[in-house]
Amino acid sequence: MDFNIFLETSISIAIAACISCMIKICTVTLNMKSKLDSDYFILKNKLILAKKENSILVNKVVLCNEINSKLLQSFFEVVKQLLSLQKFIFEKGQ
Amino acid sequence: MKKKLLSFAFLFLTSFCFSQDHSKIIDSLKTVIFKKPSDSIKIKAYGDLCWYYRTESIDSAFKYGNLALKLSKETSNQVGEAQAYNDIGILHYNLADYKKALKYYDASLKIRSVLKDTMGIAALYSKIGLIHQNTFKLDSAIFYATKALKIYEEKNHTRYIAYIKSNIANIYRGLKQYQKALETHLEIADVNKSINDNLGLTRTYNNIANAYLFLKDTVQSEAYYLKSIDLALKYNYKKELAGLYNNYGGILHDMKKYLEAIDYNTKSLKLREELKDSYGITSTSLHLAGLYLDLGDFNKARNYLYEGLNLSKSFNINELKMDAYDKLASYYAFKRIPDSVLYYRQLFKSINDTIYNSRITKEIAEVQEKYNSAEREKEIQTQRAEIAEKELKLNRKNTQIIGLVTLALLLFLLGYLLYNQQKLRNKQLQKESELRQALVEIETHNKLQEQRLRISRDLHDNIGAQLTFIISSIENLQYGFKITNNKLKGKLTDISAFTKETINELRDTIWAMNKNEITLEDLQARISNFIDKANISASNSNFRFNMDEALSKELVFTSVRGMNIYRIIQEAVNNAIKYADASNIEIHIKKKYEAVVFTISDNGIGFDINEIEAGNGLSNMKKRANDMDATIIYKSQIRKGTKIILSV
Repeated sequence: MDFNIFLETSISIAIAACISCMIKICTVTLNMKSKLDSDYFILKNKLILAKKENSILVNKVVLCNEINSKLLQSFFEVVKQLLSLQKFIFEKGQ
Repeated sequence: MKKKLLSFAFLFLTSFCFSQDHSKIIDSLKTVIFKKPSDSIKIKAYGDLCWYYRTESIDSAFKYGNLALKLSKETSNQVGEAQAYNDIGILHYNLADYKKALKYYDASLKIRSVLKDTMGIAALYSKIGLIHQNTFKLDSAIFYATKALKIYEEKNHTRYIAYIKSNIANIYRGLKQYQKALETHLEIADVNKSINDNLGLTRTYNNIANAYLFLKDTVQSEAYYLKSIDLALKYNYKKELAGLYNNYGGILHDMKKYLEAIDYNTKSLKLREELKDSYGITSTSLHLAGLYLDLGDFNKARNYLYEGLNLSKSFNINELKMDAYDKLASYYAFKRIPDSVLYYRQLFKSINDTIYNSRITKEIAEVQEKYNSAEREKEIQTQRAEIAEKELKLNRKNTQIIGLVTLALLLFLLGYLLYNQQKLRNKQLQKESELRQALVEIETHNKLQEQRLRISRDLHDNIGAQLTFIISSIENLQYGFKITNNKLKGKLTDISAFTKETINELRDTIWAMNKNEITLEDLQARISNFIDKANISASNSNFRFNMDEALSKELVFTSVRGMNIYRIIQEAVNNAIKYADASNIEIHIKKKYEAVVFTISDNGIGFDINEIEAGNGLSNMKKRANDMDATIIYKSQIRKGTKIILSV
């Protein structure tokens, strides 16, 4: 076989292969991009929801902390008053 | 205008010039030139003068021919230039200077080819063919005659077709195909008759006579010569008549009618001298010399012989020179002078050899030329083939290089696309990973917060249950036993009230905690609920609560924010009840620009804002407002009530 014909045929085949590869890569890239975009979108939505939930939880925790400190204080105050009442009753009883 | 008139006059003149005497036409043409016409008319007039002077004065013909050529060149008149070359060529042809005639015809042919003047080209082919015919290059002669014939046949020009066919028939005669030549001439004669071409018919009869002569039919030959002579005499065709007299003289010579032959040849010579036909004069002179030799009139023969020899030498016509030497040798043989006979025989032989050698050399040169041309053609073809092959190789190489470059580019592009794909994938994955990490962190944080909330809720439940148990126990004590000790009763009531307040606060907080967000409507309901309770506990006070309708009930606060607003309102109302001794307490919610403004006002004792020490109540409200980035303003004057404005 003539070298030139061999070379030209090889080049033509290589060019055709390159073009088909390029088309394949472009298609794969586009599919991958759309899939990754979709995954990213889902994750982002999840994160937004989680952040929202976090914000609600933080608010609740803030309220909890506030009431806890006050509640314990009040509870001990009630206990203290009850002890004082107990002492008063005991003194009166004697 | 003058030029137009001149043009018209010139056209009129040329239209009728055929029917006029040459000298008259020449005078008229000169008059036209004298009137200074346009250059194109002048060129035409010069050309015509050259043509008509051809038979009158060859020098004048050359003069006007050259003038026409010069003016045509100066004015770039290509038609005139071609015609001038043609006319001068004809003059050279008449002088038997075939080399120069060919040169001028070639020059004319080049211009006419550019102008695509097919009729002019055909005429030139015909004339060139005649030159070749006269120089015995019969193949070239037939080649050019055929070319001319083709053009005339395309144009369907009967007269010229007949003329060219006549030339071709003469070539057949030169090739000794006399019968064929005769048949053709007879055909042409019919054509000449049909188109009334008398000149053509005169020439054709002459040709027929010549053909019969070569076919040894002297009777027919003589008859046609005489027919031709009659026509030439009738229409005054001097040139043709001169030739005919000469030819007819030749027949008479052969028929040994010497005196008649001398008579016709003398007439021919006279006419040829008149026409200044050098070749004809020489030929006829030698013919006459031959006749006088046969008649034994050696003096006259000698005169004509030397006249013919001189003329043939001056015009360098070798064939006629040879004839002269041959006849001179015969003359000196009659005179019995052997040295002269030997001398002229040698001269005859020398010229014969020269002609023969020159013909052979010419033929060899022609063959050589043809061979060289063939070789050159071959070499050119080989070179062309090589160049074409090289070009093909180069093109192939270029195609391969372009292909390789394209392939390289495509590979680069492919690599770039792959790299880009990977880069995009990595970028997207990184972003995704960051998001996942953030999500995991937030979810972990949320779980932690939920854990804390669960623990807190357990605590609330426990403490709430215990506080409820305490309240319940105290109330059971109060109702189960008749407590007479007022101090004990007071203590029990204080504990119960404090516990209830704590539980209420807890409930408020749990209410807020159970909601992810608090709407204005929720807040409104909660505040109304609170006011109802306050109204029960502080029955001396009037409570008014209103909200602008412009405010959307869907307005949403976070639970902390909602709780803080509620606590501030609660604190403000409690302060008004507890410390201000107010009879009217108003809570108003309205919209101001983008903010929601909560106003709590009373008509209590008020306070001096500069003097009062900020207790837990005021500072708490301030702190809560700061926590939620809101502004709180206290407006109070002694005995004029208090107004607390919260802008959220």
